[in-house]
Amino acid sequence: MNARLAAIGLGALLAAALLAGTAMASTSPAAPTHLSISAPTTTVSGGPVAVHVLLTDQEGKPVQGALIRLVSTVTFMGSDHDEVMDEAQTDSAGKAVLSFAPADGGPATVTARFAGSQGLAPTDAALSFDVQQPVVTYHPTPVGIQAPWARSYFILVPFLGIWFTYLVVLRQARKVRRAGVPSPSPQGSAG
Amino acid sequence: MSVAVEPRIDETSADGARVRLRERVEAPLRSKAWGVKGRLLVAGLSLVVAWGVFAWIHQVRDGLAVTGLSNHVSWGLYITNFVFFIGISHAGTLVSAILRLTHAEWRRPITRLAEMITVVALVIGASMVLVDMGRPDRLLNVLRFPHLRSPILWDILSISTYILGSLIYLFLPLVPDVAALRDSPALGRVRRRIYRALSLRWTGLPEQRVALTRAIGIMAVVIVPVAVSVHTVVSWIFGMTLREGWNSTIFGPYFVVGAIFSGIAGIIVVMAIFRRAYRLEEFITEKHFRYLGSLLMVLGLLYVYFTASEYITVGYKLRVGDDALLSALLVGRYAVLFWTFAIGGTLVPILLLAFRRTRTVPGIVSAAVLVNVGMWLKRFVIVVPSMALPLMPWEWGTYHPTWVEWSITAAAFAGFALVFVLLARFFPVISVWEVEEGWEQLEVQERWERLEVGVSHDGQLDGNGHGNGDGHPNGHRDGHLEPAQHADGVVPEGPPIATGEER
Amino acid sequence: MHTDSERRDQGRGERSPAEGGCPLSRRAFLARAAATAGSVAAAGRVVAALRGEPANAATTAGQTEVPQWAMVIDLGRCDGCKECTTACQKTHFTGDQEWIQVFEVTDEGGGHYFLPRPCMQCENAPCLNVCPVGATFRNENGTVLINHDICIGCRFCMAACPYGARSFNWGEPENPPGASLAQYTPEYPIPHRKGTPDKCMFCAHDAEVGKLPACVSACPMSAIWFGDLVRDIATNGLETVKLSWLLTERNAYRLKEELGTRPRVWYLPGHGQQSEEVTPV
Repeated sequence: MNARLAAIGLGALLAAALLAGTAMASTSPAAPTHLSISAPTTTVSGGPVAVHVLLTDQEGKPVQGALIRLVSTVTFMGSDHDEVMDEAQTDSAGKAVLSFAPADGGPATVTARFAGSQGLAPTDAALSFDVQQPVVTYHPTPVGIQAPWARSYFILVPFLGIWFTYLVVLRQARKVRRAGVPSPSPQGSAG
Repeated sequence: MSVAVEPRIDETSADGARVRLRERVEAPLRSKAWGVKGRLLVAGLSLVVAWGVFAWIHQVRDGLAVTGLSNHVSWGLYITNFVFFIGISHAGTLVSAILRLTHAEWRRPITRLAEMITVVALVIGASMVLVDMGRPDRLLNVLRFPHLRSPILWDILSISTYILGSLIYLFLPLVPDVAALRDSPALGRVRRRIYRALSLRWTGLPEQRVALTRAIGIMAVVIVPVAVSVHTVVSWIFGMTLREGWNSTIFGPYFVVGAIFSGIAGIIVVMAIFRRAYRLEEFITEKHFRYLGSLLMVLGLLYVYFTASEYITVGYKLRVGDDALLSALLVGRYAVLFWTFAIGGTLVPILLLAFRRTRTVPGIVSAAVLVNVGMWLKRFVIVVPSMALPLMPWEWGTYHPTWVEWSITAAAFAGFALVFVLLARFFPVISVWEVEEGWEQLEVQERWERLEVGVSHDGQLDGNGHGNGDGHPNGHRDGHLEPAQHADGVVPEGPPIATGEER
Repeated sequence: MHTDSERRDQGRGERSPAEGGCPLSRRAFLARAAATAGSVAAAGRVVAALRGEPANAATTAGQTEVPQWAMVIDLGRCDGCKECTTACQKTHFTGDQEWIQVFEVTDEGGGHYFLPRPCMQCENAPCLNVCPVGATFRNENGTVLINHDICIGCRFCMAACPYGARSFNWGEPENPPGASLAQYTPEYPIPHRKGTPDKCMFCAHDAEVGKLPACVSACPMSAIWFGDLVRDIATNGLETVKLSWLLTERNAYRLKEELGTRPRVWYLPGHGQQSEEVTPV
């Protein structure tokens, strides 16, 4: 009976320790991180700009394999959205290169966002840009074979030719009528 | 004094054929000709047409919801009828124009019937499109907002050109005939006035003959490409879509061949009916049936070739969608219709026409009737299965035509018959002057041949051409050498106009 | 060409621009645009001829500022609930018609999934090509619209559509009470007309005032993305991403691509596997 009591007590202790452990793990504050953002130029002139980010932990050590998202606030369909411009994972040096290719002109703020993982706290960093010329990615291809000389009303041409021929034929019919002797009463033999 | 008793009999029979032709052709035009049977027929047909009009009014009021059409199968009986009647309308072109251009003399007694078929069939066919429209009140929009990229617009252009051309082509050879009739006392006054207006003051003068012949010649040349274009663009209503079964490149020639095929069958049937009803056996003879029957057989073989070509190439590759369609056609839900068309509508008629034993007038007419029924089924099999097959992962659509659609279909056929009957009571069904022109040309040819051979022209027969079936009167009327001159030396007019002796 | 309905509308007055209306009488403008599109020669379809007419080109040069709407449907998220269908029916009073139809598909590998199918708004639209009166036309956003004022109800468009995206008003359509007072525009075709077809139009009436289409908003799985090809942006109500990223990274495909219709609706391959994971909003 003592052994059983001891076993129960040990089990309860273990369970409590486990619970405490998980509780501690889930409520333990995530380690702060730092995200730095930079770009070779803050002017966008029709081409994408590379945005460099560096994610370090509280000790300044680079964080590898973290997913960084580059978002930009745009107005679309009546409300503001954080549009995901690009996303990438940091390499062994904690660096990632993201592409910023805005479609709208004017001032733009991009935010590099780390959502947090591996016990690391989420963090973000922002950078302002001046989009003088937006990046055009949509190049519509025209539909169909390009033959600018062709017009749909060409199809009328043969029919006009045929209707003209009808007129010629009807003119012949008029000739028949004109050659006849006009008279209200029935004719005798013309021969 | 070489004119013996025998030539006089020949003379009588030569004139006799002419008289009989005139009489038989003109008899139905008199108002007294309406017998009980005729009135009953017209009444019956009018009843069917009236019922169809009632059904259409019902449809206009309640919308196309009264038909069996649905979002899956949005085209059905009306489009089938449309294609069928436009196909029949190719009868006139083939017989009249092509045979005229190739100087086939045997065409002469049947051109009028063929030209009439074309006009009536086109009108009925066009009315089927009107019936099918969801908004018939907006019909004029095709003229107000034409979208020239649409096959339906090409259709409208082509069919209106064809209707106009067919009307002209029916009207021109009618001129000398109505000229002959305009003074006939047995016809009503109103009718004679109409004839007089239509006759373009025809008196057979040489200038008139030249002008008329030239006009008819031009029309004969022009109407052939128009007719070919008509059924080609009708086929492109299907051929320009991406549906399985319709997405085929051979639809243009396929439909044209099918149209001529069913058109010839149409002529044969109409010919047989009028031959019996108006007692025209002497002029529309077994030879005509045999020749048209041969044409029918050749076109039937061509049609089989096209059909086989279509289904064999599709069946070899079995693309997605094509396999389901082909299996439905050959062994599935549409197999009965398809094989009825294939065997009853093509194979049996070809066999009937191929063997001499069955190549009789009844045999040929039966073959023609079978062809017409088969071709209507074939048009149904072209339209409906391709509409019913699934475009997306859904079930096959079903199509069950309602009484409205069947009534309107029946009214279309009854309307065709009715308009034809009325037309045949108003205009002569045989182009009399062309037949007589053919007799004269044959006569002239015989005389020249006799001259070349050196036989004296004492009025004796050369013993050939007797009863060769085109009503050629043997012998000749006078002893002159010059072709077709009367005794008084004046070049005669074409069709003789009203003189006392020819009444 | 002043039709009775045109006169009726002008008597009623237009929606003011503040309400999202257009200064021009929309019906008159569109009727004339359709007529012009029909007779303007720049779009020949003579056999083997040009097909780059404005009515059927993706955009014309210099129009890159105008949004070109596109839709992306994530088949991994669709659970076949048909909320999209219901929302569209309610918004447009379509009755029984399903302008976005959800199919249950079993593919060749044995997978089973749901496929919503709106109108594909094809850049090379067969329905637009075959309309005899040009009642089907593209607006500047690339959306294929129907002008129910001039449609003659021939149903050639329905025969030509390879996706079966159109429904026809076979009888008198169920218009909601008061619908006859609504100002009809092709962007919001209420009241529906008997004897004319109807189809999804990417909620053009909402898009022009910056609102998401009904199906996009209604989807509880956020499976439908609505985007602009010009700005390369797409949103499903929750997230907003670059449209090109969605198309390339997620291996988007189009239905019946080989037919050459160039649809503006892409599908992200899937078989509803995420419909369990994603919590309905």
